[in-house]
Amino acid sequence: MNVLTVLLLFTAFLITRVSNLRLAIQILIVQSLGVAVACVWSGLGSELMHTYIAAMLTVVIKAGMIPYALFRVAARLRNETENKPILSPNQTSLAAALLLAVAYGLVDQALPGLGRDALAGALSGFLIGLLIMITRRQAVLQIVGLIMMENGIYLLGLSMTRGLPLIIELGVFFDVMVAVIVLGILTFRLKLSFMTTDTTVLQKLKG
Amino acid sequence: MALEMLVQAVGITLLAPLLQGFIQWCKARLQNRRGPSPLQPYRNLFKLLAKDMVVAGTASWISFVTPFVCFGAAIAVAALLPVVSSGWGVSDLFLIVYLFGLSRFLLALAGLDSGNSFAGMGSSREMYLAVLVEPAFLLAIVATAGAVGTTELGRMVQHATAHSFTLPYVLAAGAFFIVVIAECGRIPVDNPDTHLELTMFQEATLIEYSGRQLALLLWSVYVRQLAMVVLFVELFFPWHWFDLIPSLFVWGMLKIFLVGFLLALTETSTAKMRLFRLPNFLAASGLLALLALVAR
Amino acid sequence: MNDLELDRLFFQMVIIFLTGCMSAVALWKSPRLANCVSHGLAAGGCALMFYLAGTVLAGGEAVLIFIGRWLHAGEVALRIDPLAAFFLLLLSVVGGAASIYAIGYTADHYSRRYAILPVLFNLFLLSTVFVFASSHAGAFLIAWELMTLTSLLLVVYEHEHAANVRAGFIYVVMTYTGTAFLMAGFFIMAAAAGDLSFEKFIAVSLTQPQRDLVFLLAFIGFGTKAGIIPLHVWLPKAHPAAPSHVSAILSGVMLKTAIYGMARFYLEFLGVGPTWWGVMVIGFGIVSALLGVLYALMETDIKRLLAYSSLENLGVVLLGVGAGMVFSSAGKPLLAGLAWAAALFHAFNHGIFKALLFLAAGAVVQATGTRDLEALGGLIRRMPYTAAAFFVGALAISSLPPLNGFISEWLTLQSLFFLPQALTGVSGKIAGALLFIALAMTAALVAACFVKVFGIAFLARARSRKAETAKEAPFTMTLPMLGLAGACLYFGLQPHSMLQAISRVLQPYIGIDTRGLFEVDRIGLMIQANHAEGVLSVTLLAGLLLIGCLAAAGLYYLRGKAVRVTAPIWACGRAATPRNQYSATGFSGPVRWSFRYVLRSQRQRIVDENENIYVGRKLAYHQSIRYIVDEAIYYPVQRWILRQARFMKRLQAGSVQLYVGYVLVVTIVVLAWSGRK
Repeated sequence: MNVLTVLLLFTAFLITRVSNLRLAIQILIVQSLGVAVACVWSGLGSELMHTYIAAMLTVVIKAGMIPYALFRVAARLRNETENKPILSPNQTSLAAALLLAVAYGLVDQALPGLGRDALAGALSGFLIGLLIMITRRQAVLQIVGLIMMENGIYLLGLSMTRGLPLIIELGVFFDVMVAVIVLGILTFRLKLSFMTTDTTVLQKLKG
Repeated sequence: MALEMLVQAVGITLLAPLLQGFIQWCKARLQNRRGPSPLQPYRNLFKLLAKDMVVAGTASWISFVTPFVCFGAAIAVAALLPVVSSGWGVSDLFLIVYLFGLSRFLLALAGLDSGNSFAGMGSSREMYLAVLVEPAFLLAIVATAGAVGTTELGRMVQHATAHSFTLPYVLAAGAFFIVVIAECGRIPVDNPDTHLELTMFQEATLIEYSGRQLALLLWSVYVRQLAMVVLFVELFFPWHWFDLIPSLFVWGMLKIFLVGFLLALTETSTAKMRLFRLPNFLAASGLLALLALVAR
Repeated sequence: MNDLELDRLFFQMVIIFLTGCMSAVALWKSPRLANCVSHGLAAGGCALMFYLAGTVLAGGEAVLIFIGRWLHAGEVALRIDPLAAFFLLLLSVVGGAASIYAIGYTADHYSRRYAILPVLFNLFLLSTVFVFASSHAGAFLIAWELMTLTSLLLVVYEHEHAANVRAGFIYVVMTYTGTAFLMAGFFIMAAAAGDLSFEKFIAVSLTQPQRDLVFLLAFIGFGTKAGIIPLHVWLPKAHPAAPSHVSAILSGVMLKTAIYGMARFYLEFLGVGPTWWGVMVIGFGIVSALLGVLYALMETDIKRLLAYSSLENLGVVLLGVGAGMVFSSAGKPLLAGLAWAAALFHAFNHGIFKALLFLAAGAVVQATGTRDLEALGGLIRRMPYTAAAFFVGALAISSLPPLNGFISEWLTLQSLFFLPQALTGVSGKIAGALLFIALAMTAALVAACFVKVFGIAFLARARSRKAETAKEAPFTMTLPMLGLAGACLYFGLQPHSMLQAISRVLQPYIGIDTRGLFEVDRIGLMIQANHAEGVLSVTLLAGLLLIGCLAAAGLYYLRGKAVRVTAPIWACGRAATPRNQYSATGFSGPVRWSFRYVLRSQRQRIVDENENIYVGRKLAYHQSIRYIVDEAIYYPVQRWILRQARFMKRLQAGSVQLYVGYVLVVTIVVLAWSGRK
């Protein structure tokens, strides 16, 4: 389990340094696969059938459909890259490290002695996802951040309860899918309307 | 009961034009004119009932129906008033007021029906007057006779007889007299004799009527006038029941015609008010009634 | 008839309404078929409902339809007691008429999205049924919200007009605010009763401040739905925006759900309260009645006028409710019964004649394409049946004998007349008298208002081309109107059966006694309470009116055949045109002048000075009134909210990153806070 947590954190840190869209998506696939493996792992321990279903869904949706959609978007966008992130890669990594510390602190404070590493890793995955969304201007990278966040939440649930009820997981999946679809459409619209997917142009919409 | 009621209705209906004639005659005398005989309204009605009608081309069945319903409502009021004896116990105050309302409603519609602008103005003013008169009407009676705990007029009249000329009744009498003037369309509220478009109320709504329909409408107006006077006399000038005993009958008649004379006197001695001064006039009635209520 | 058969009947009714929805969906490609089938099914459902409600009302016993357990909600029951049955009866009459009317009326609306209309209509009827039948706070609120939602969608159905969408928006804001108050009220009850079922709410022990709070919450919550002034702002906007058959149900029935709710709370749950409850209800009632009718009289939009007049009628109903509460707390159960009966009967009657008026107004609007009274006129010849129906409705709403409106107005007047018996001292007498004046004035204003509507819209000559070419509505529209007109006449001449049913409805409640209140003898309807009596003999009255009319006819033909010669009207020697006719604005002029301090009327006259003044000048005249309640309450609130919003706007930078940043900060704060020792 710890291996997987480390994998999650590693991929999260990687994404903080990446400015190429396709590369970021590939890293995301790896991370999602890691989450799926974690899911199976916990299923082996508890002999609960639905964790396998959840793992399968993770693979199909997060490692399959969503990255596929994102690749298509990225392909259409051609040479859009993250040019001027709000924080430079170095600064972002630093912030991510800080968040990791915060996550450990929080976990220690709230739930001492309960699967500490997994929990803190999951939480920091979630927080770093948020961080990515804040510090990147590119719409696609923001989607990536969102999914990272979701992975973090998922692992959080897994490490605390040995798997949430299937119905809740299904709900979360569909939530994410809808969000990604909406964001994908939004990205297209951005490109069409503003010739860029830099989300800072959205500030012009403010009333 | 039904027979007595019908007799009473017919009696009041037949007497109504006489009161009108009497008031006109008194007015003429007060103005140093000879004036037509008090029986003139009968002659007018009789003649009108034989005449052809000129009907506005734009008028609909509303105009046709109105005279009949107004006359019907007048007959119903005449039958329901507790005149012959108090025994029926069916003459409700609200019912009487709303029956007046029914004929006023239809008359106002008939005024709008022809499309004549004067008639429309008459309708508008008539309904406006109702807004002022109806509350004053109800309040003047309820403030005094309401103490009896019912709105049945027979019982109210009994109460009035028992408490006649006490302070509340004297005050309310003033209030109700104003209402009588307004309901009968007399100066200073309305001028029944004028045909000057700017001063007309009720006359204006009748402007497109002629012949038999006009006769029916005029007659119902006379009946309404007599009904108001009878109500005034009974409540504030009590006469007991008119049990077909000659002496009581004569007394009752005298009182009715005395009130008629009072109406003629006010008409001669005051000038017609502007439309927008009417609220003050009727507010005076309302205030008197409120005082009566407090004094009760 | 035992419960088993009735509950089967109930479910059949539900299935019919649902089938009505489904069929419209299934037949969406053929609007004509969807219209007939779906609205036909709705009418069928209403017929079943009529039978069901009638049976329960005649039996006088509550009927349990369904009971089930639901997780934490406790026992969820559908129960039709006489009170619910009474309102269901109203719904069935109005809903049935509106359904049939819809077949003809909505035939003009065929389009791609047409199928939504019958679907929503069926759902709206069904959810209203559940509002009345639910005997469980949760179920009630869900049904209540469904009713609000479906009606909202119907209000904004014609969303091409920006005004309709705006009306829908205001409607949503107001009713959801109201529902919030209702929920709070229910929560307090539920917390005290430990259960959500209405049965447990009865006579639940609450402290006096709690009772006061529940009273106020329910009053605000239901008052918003009833549109009592000053919670009325949505009503005159939303009701006219809906298609007319829906407006009829909105005004005729949905407003009454508020009265139903008040009856539930004040009669059943809270029981007898302190005097100030009733006094407060009366106060709001009289303000609503007087202001409502004044605004109605000033209005020239026929449907908005009807909506304002609904405010007035709900005000009159509240007068009855309030008087009933005052009597209860003064320990006069018979008079309380009288006042509540007046309220319920007026609610019922208003449902019928207001639905009738809305249906007729809808026919007019459809035939002429305008809602502006100043553009109508002369429709009595073009649309004779619609005009006749509207005429009956106008008489009824002006509470003139011998129609149903008069009976309930009479009962209300009676209960106000006896009100000083429950209030002590001279102040009580004066307050009673002032109420009396206000109600009498209201009645006269209503009469003026409906003389105006009928006289301007239907009589004289057409004021526009559209009105000149109007055609009578198809029989599917005129038939329900005439049916409702018949109902107005029936309940005017035969009020006894309904009043006795109402007294059975009211009998079980604490503080109310209706035994022997309504006596029917050969004279007519009699009310009898201690030191309070009243007699109203409707049959005698009708007989006398008839005899009088016959006598008039006799006089008419006394001196031979009547000859009628047609001639143009007199207009001082010039040929009269429709422009000579009195206008709606002109008609209400004197009242506008008299009440100028309330109405804040403003006028603007534009005179073209260039032309020779002897030939005639161009005149433009603009008249408007200002709404004192809106200005005093809503505008300041609105300004305050906007100021706050401008302040809050600084948070809305438009940057996605910043927003996500908020989320990050909040997350960490929440986690830290939840993890605190």
